[in-house]
Amino acid sequence: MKKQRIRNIIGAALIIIALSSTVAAMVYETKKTIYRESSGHLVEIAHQMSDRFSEQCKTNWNVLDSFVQDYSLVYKTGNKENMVSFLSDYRRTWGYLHLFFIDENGSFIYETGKVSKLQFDNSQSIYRVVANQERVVAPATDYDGTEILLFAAPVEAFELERYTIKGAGICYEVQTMLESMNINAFKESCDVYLLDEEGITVARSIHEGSMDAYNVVNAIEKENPKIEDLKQQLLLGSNEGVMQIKAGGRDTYLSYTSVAVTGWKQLLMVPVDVVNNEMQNYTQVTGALVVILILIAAAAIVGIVHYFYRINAEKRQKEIELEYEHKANESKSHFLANMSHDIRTPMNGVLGMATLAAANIDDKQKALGYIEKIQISGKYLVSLINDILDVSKISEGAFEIVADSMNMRDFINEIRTVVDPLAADKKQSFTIETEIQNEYVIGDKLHLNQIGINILSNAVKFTPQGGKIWLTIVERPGISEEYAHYHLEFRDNGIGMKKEFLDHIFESFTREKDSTINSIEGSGLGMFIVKSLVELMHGTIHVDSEPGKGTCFCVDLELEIDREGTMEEKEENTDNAKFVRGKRVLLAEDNMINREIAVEMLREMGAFVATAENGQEAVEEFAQSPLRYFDVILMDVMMPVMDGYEASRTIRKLEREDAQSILIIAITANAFQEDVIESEKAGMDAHLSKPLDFAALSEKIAVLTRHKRKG
Amino acid sequence: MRKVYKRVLAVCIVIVFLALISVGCSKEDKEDNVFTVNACKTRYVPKSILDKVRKEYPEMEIRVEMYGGANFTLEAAERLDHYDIPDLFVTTRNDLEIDTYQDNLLDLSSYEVLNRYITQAIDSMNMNGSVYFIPNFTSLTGLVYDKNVFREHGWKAPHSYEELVSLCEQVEKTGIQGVGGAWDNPSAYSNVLACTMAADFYSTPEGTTWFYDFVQGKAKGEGVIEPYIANYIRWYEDGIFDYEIQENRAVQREKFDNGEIAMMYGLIGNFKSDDEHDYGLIPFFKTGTDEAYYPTATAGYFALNKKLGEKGNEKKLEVGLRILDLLSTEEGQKDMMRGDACYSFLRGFKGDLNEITESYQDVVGQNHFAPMNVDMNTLAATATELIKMLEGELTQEEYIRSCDDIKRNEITEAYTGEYLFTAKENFTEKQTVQYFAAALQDYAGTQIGMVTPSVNEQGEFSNPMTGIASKFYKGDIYSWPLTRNTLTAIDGTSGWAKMSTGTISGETLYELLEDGICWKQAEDRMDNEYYYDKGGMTSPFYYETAGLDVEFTSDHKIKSIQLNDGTPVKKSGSYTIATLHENVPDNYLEDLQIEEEETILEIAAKYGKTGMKGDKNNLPMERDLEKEKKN
Repeated sequence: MKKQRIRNIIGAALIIIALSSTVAAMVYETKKTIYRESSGHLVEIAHQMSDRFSEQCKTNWNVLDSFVQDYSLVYKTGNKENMVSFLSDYRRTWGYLHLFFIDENGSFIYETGKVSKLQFDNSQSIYRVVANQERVVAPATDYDGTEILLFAAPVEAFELERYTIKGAGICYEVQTMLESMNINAFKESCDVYLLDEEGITVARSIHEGSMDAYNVVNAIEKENPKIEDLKQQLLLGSNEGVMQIKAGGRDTYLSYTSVAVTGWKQLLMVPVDVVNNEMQNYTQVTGALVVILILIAAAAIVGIVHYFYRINAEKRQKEIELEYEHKANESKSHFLANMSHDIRTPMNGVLGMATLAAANIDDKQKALGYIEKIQISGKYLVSLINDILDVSKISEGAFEIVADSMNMRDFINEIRTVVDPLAADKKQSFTIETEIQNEYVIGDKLHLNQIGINILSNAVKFTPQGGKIWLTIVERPGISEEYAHYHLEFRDNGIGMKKEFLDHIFESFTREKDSTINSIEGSGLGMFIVKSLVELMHGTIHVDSEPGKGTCFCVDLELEIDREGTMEEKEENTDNAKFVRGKRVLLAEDNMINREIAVEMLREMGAFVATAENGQEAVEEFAQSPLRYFDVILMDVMMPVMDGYEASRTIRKLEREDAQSILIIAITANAFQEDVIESEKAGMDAHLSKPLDFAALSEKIAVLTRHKRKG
Repeated sequence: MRKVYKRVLAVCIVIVFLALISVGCSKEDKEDNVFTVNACKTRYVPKSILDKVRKEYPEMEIRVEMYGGANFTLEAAERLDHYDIPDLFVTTRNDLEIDTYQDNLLDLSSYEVLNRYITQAIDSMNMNGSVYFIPNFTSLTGLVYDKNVFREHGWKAPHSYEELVSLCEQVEKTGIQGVGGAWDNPSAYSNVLACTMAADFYSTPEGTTWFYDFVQGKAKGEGVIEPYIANYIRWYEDGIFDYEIQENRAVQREKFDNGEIAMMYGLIGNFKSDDEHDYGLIPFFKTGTDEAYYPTATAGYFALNKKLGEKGNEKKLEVGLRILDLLSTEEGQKDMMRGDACYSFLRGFKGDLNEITESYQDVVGQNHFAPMNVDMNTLAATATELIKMLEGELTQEEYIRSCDDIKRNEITEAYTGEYLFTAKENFTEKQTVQYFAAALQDYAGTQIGMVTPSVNEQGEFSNPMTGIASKFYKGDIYSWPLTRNTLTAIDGTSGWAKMSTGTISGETLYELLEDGICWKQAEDRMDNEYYYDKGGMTSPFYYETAGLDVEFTSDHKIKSIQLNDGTPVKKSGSYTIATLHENVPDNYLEDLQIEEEETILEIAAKYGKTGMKGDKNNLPMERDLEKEKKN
């Protein structure tokens, strides 16, 4: 069982691990999928924006080139008035913040006619245009403080009034430009940065709380020191990709792309939860499916495990049952073998002795000797059958312990009455010692007697002649004031038992195989019955024994004290036979031999006997008899036509004066307690079991007659 | 019993040990809670901002290290070069020395604060994607004039170079000096050069680019700046500036205030209009055009110590960034400007230049502001040569070559002048003051030399400003860098602080050495708003001496005192001493004499070069004859 349990636990653990691993793997896969999908989505948007921005740049350059060319074609040099008019038209058409020409000193001549430098312009962007003849896209702060993105290109130098024009340009307001790129992806939580080759923010469209720094790459690097070569990865060449970073303490997807036209980098940063939010439904559905699948898998696994477990359990149960059956059969066979042996032995005695008696019928003395032995064998047979019945009832759980008031002294006396003659026969001394404070208790005297007599008769049996047997009964305080504890010690100095036998002494059909005791009779059921009775009385029994030194049985019983108990009236030792003599007895017995034996025996005892072969006849016989004609009815229980119980009930119901008073004694082979109770219920006055002990019958009739008389 | 005794003893030792460790730790923790800022009387983080931060971070002590010398620019540069900077470092120049900055300063480029400034201002400080400073406000330079005076005389604000020349002629005809300035100071000539070059050259894209290349050693002056040097000389030749005046700023300013000078060259931030004066600012005219530019001078830069970025300094970093954050607001900028008409690099800052530039709205409207790109190392190092060039002793070409040579040899300001001596290790402030006391004693031949530091332990200035500042760093000490240890003369005359000699009674000497000297606090506390008490006198300034062997008790009472020759100093005696003028107040001395020939700068240089007799054995210094020969 223990191994099975360990196997079960290991199995359960493995299943849990397997399930957990599956869940972990699915979560991991789901996350990976989400990341892949999200990053893919992000990259796609980044590309779109980058492309859009590149397109925008191209358009800007085209516009710039075209207005420079157009101006050159139209005016060649012109004056400021021409220029203002021309640029204003272009601005209206294209919607830039400003269009301008740049003079050699870096002053801008705007479409409004204003001439100004950028604020504190000591940057080198304009130098690159007017001196190095480069096209420049650069962030700047305009003359009035507006953040602009500048597209400037060199032009062939020309004079415009007092200015030497060396460049031209257009500019956007950064915010307007980024807004015009219509960045509304990811619920508008997307931060966009355009960075130059050093990571410096050229333009940005960000939200409150987003990362904001002059050099965004440095800021990212600072917050993510564990990402190696981050700067290189983000800024070098045409690298592009996506990664997960921390930005402002928040998990963020970062997509980096090159902006083809300017050589800048475009960074898109979106909080992971915002991106993943778009995948929420997918995640939820996937999650739900995963959970359902897992539950189904778990249920299937549990079902399979349970199925196999049940099959195993059933198999095991069947094996147990088979084993039990086998054992039962074995036991039955063993029992039958024992019974066969134990019954055959006395039966052999009976038949053998009967044959001998018949052969020597003329030799009265011899014949009486044989008959006496037949009686001994018969008695042994009866006790054997009683034992078998007890064992049967115990095995069936049908054995009932009666809780009646009893007197411990009576119990001791009855023991003494039985054991003394047995001990005397073997010249053994039997000593009873008692320390009893409460004589009256609630108990089952009959079976207590059975216990005591069984143990002591064994003691007598297994103690050689001249040996000693002791019974000590000591009363101790019980578990409460209502109870008394009785310690019964049965000791002898007999042959004792080997340890190997002691271990099995309380099992049925157990007898020690010993040359010294083989000659001793016994069913081997006595100690089994004793132990069973003690346990049914909620007591304990244990035995100590040593071969050659003797045996000691200790029985401990907790019995309720009967504070109101009174001594049973002692029966007078009278000649019971005289109560039978002259009595008119109606005998109802279906078995012819039994009927004949009973008739003969009763007649021997001086009784007048009428017979009935079933209950019906008995009722009729009684009903037809004159009032108070019969003194007693001996009623067999199991009879055809009408059984004894029914017949008794019918008689008691008859409308005649003696219907209630007539003594009805049940005679039955059923010697169980319930039979006694059943007979009482049927209105019978007493119960005797077969084979009929006529002495006991006589005594019973005597007692009942006295009681009736008193009553 | 003995075992028990030993165990108890062992436990006690462990407890004492742990207690000592914890005391040590707590001391260290205490230092971790000190945030330092350097400052001088004109360059600092406004007290209002520091007080606000103090309230926000009560657990942090914000300590200001006050500088009391005359060359804050060099002082800051020296501190930077010697890795001796506070947590918040205030300096006046940005020489784009990327290596030095990388080693000392925290890269601010990853912080949002830079985005509050206009793009061009931060771009100009960008070094390979890193930015180490945020800029202070900027002040306009030009020729300051009093509109009331002009009105009185019927003068008109000039709108071209020619008009300016004729104005100067007109002014001088009335016996009034045309343009005043700190003409005793070679730096003033360098600054004027920076202004003319701003208008002529730095205002152009090429000029801006050339300057950054030159500073970084990538460009030469030769072949590029000749025309602009010629233009500069023209300002003198045409009589706008006069290099022969040789008066110091104070004198010239007084004359200007009295109407004896028509225009004053300088930063508009130094002039405040009031009921009497209504100032305007004439820009610098670009040669050969009708354009004019206001040269701009950034008042300083703020940086954070690189150590603030290290683990364990998170709180300090937070404090540092918070100060930068507060400085980078309109309110913070105005606090720094102290109400003057200045301009800020802050985006959207609304300056108030209307009154000042009333006559030059076109200049302002066109954003004609040009940076006074002064390569301080080069120009300061060649200031003397510049004057020589003006005096005709050097040709323009020679001057330009000398500039290129200095740049090529990477000679910094700290290595200009004559080689004096080599400091074997960093001097303490006290040792540095002792050096000057010894120099004074040696030069004057008195029994005693004594002088105080210019800032006391509480960070208060002496009044009048006198004493010795800062300390020598390990390495070669040259004569020009002594300017960061000294102050200018207090009597308004030209040049550096003067020496005074006389005799002093033993009793007074005892008194001064034991109690130090306390001054009446200056009335204009704008100079030092950090440490002045609410009124009365300053805390004591204690003297360092030469020629004396003094031993003090723990409560700073004289335990023993004797002259170096072993003669005991008696209260009843009388002793000759040399000190800085008014450092020992004149009325404490008999036979008072003020040295007029040599200033403290020269005296200290001479001592370093030839003297070092007095306390030379006590100071960690030596002379390298090889280096002296190179002089």
